[in-house]
Amino acid sequence: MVLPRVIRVSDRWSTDEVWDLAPDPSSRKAALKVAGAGSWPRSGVVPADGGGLAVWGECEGSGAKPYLAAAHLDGEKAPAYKCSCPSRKIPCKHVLALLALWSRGAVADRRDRPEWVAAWLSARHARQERAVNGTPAAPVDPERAAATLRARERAVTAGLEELRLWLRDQVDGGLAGAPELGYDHWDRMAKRLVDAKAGGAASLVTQLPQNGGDRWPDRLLERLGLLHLLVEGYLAEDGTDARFRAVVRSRAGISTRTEEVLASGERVRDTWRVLGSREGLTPDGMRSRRTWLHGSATGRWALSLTYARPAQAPDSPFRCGTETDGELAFHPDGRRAVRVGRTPERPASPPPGGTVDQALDSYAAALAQDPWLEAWPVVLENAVPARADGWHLADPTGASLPMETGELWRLLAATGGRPATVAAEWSPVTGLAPMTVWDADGKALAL
Amino acid sequence: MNHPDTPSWGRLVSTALVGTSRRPVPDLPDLPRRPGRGAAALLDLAALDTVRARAGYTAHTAEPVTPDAPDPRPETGPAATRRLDAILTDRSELLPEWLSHAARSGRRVNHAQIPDLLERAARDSGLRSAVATVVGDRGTWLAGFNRTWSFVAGEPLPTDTYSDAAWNDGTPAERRRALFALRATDPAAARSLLTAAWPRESRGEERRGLLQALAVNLGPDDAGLLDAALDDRGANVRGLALALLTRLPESAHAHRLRGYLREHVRLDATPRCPVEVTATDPRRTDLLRDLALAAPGNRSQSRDERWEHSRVLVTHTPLDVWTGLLDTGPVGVLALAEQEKDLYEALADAACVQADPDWTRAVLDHPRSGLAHLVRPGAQHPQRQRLRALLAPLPVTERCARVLAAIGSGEEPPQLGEILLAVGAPWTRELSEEVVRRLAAPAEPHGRGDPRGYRLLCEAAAGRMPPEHLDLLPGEPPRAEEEAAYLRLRKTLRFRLDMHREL
Repeated sequence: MVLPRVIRVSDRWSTDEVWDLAPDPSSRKAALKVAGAGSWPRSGVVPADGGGLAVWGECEGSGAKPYLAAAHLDGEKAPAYKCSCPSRKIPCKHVLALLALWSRGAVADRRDRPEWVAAWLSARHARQERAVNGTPAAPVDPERAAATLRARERAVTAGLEELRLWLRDQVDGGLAGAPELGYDHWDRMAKRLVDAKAGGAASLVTQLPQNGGDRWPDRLLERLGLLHLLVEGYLAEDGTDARFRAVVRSRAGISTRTEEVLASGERVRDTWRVLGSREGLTPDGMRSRRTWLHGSATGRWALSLTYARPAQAPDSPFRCGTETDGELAFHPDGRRAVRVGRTPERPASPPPGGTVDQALDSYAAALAQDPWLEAWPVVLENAVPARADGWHLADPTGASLPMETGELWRLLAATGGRPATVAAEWSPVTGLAPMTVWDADGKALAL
Repeated sequence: MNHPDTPSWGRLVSTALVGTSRRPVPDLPDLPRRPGRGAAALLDLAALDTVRARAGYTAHTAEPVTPDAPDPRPETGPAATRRLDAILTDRSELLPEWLSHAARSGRRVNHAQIPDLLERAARDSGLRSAVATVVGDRGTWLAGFNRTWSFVAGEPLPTDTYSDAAWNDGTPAERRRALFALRATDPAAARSLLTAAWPRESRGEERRGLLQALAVNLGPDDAGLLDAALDDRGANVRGLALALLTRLPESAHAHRLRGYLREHVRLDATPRCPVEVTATDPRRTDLLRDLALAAPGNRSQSRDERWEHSRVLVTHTPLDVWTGLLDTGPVGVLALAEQEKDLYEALADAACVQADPDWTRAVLDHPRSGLAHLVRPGAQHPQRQRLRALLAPLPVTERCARVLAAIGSGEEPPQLGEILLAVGAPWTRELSEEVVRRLAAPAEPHGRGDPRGYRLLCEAAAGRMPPEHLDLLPGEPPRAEEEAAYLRLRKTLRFRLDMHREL
């Protein structure tokens, strides 16, 4: 049971709780710059219609008019924000800065409120009333939904059957000429799959000719083999268990909408530790953020995926190095998950970790569930940076894994070469990519 | 590490390259026989071998790095750490100020910020000393793994101490820091060590790094070693030796320069031009050596090239030669040299190079090219580029007072922002008040006010005005059309005020 956080007007949040709301680190940095009392000539804390309290302020910015920012903090529900600035981030830097000021006690309680605050609060209140008293939106006709899904499955099946023939043709004719083939050779097949609504398989096809270097025949055959395995798994229909079937479907590109996951997905209640996250690019140029969570009691791994357009930072629904008590709703593949409700986060001690061999065992077990797995979270305890042909991370037994060097310097700087708990993504193809390191005081640092 | 390295894999790949239409799928002892044939069988086997290899990935072994020595200094507070993040994100113009405050506070930065700071110092050598101080031993340790950051190891820190072991057997960086540390406590001993080691120092860059230690507590007794360094093979070393010798007006070297200059000064040349410096002989090796100049090639020189040698002679020779020869003070010398434009410029340069306050005052007071002239509309003069160097030898209150007096209370001088940047921090309250008065004044009618000038003025004030003078600035932007620049100024001052409180 999640305890609602009861908020009274006298109940200020801590500054850290405010920063928890930041959608990404750059928002926090941006907010810091306007988080001085001088930027906020007018501000106040007022009780809100329908409960909770509202913090409002007018931020003196670079424009002619001040930005009007407000937050409604209502104990049982997620906070709501409003700001007149054009930022698409929620909350924006102005709201964050205002709340940070409030957390430091620099926003006074008052009774009066400007017109725009009153209008916003009363409109919110009216909407909530309607939501409580009115009937919820009619559910989608289950028969129609099932028919849509069947049509989609038929399209994917047809697409993958075509892919199967294509894959076999490539190998039948021989791969020796592959480097000379233009991109449209691969793109044509990928487009056919997109048309067949098999987006997952399509992006695996676009990756076929990617960066092999001297070993391109090895890389290409690996990818062709795994893609063929996906086709065979999907078309096999039976003989596989439901979880594996779901993995195959999601790899092929049949996704499940978040609302559906929240409505009928498997729910798991636990204390979820946020191990860390990594940003990446999807084949079609979207930015993605993978955040890995681990259930303290169930031992379950969960992956939160968020996406954004290239110019924006993907949402971070979880803050690295914290833990949260609550429920996650899982996609059918049993791995991808979304948060149910807004559960409070708190700083967590370093997660329990293991040795390199334990990490590799856990990766192998995960591979048995999902042979197409690209990266898998591992937590190494007392890990130290080490050198062989390149940089490695070694455990106290002397066993090591090669590191991807993107965040090498921050990891080295944070540890000084001393043993630390490190959460990383492991891939035998690209190496170990550290996400989070816990320093000597047990404080988490997102890399 | 990224492909199956099993005995069968190579045969699968070679079959796939040729094509299953031309070559049968091999029978492989370590993989199960598949029911299918041809391409399907080969792809199945490839998938199987790939997943098997990934699942069977085994650990490597590697040599753990030696951890660094703990840095006993406390970390900057959380607010200061967050502020540094904000500065590194998009206020890098305030980085030097943050660094100097942090370095003075005796605290170290958050370890995670070290790589970013080292990266910036690698690109901007002006940041190196302060960055080395705040990143401390952890930074030096880290830089040991990355050659582009190797400069950190050689940056002397106030906490360094001298040891014979470091000097005799250390790395070049350790030797340099040991020498700097000793130089700070016992200049004579450090000079003796360097003098003894000098002939054996084989690398020019290292000799230069060591010679720089003499800049600490430089004194007349250092002249001998510096004089010898004028014969160095490295042009950088010779240049450094000359720069340091210029700060020793009683050295034998300085007396030789006085001698050369006396030989080349001609008085009463013409009534219009009462003093001039004649061209030096390009074959005079003693003069070239003493000025760290390279001998010119054989081709004939232009007038400018010949004057260049004379100019270097004038800028490095102690200015007292002139007052002696002409029997007048700096103001009188400048007045006599005024008609000879090159000579006048060289004398102004000499005042800057030798950081002589009496002479820079004389240049600043000059009725036709001094400070009062520079702030006048339309004034174009090389002195403007030199303004910072001319003001630098003066006490800060005098700098502020001179600029204040020069700008007067009349018309807005163009490029006032640029002139104010040359004053250096911290401004006196009087100067801040005058700048604020001008910022707050309404725009001149008929569009005569220069919007660019106003913005430059805001920028100069944002960077150089002491942030505690923020109270002087009205909260409301005085000019609607320049509101953005004005509000940015206020914001920057608030930012800096918070920054100072946090460190």
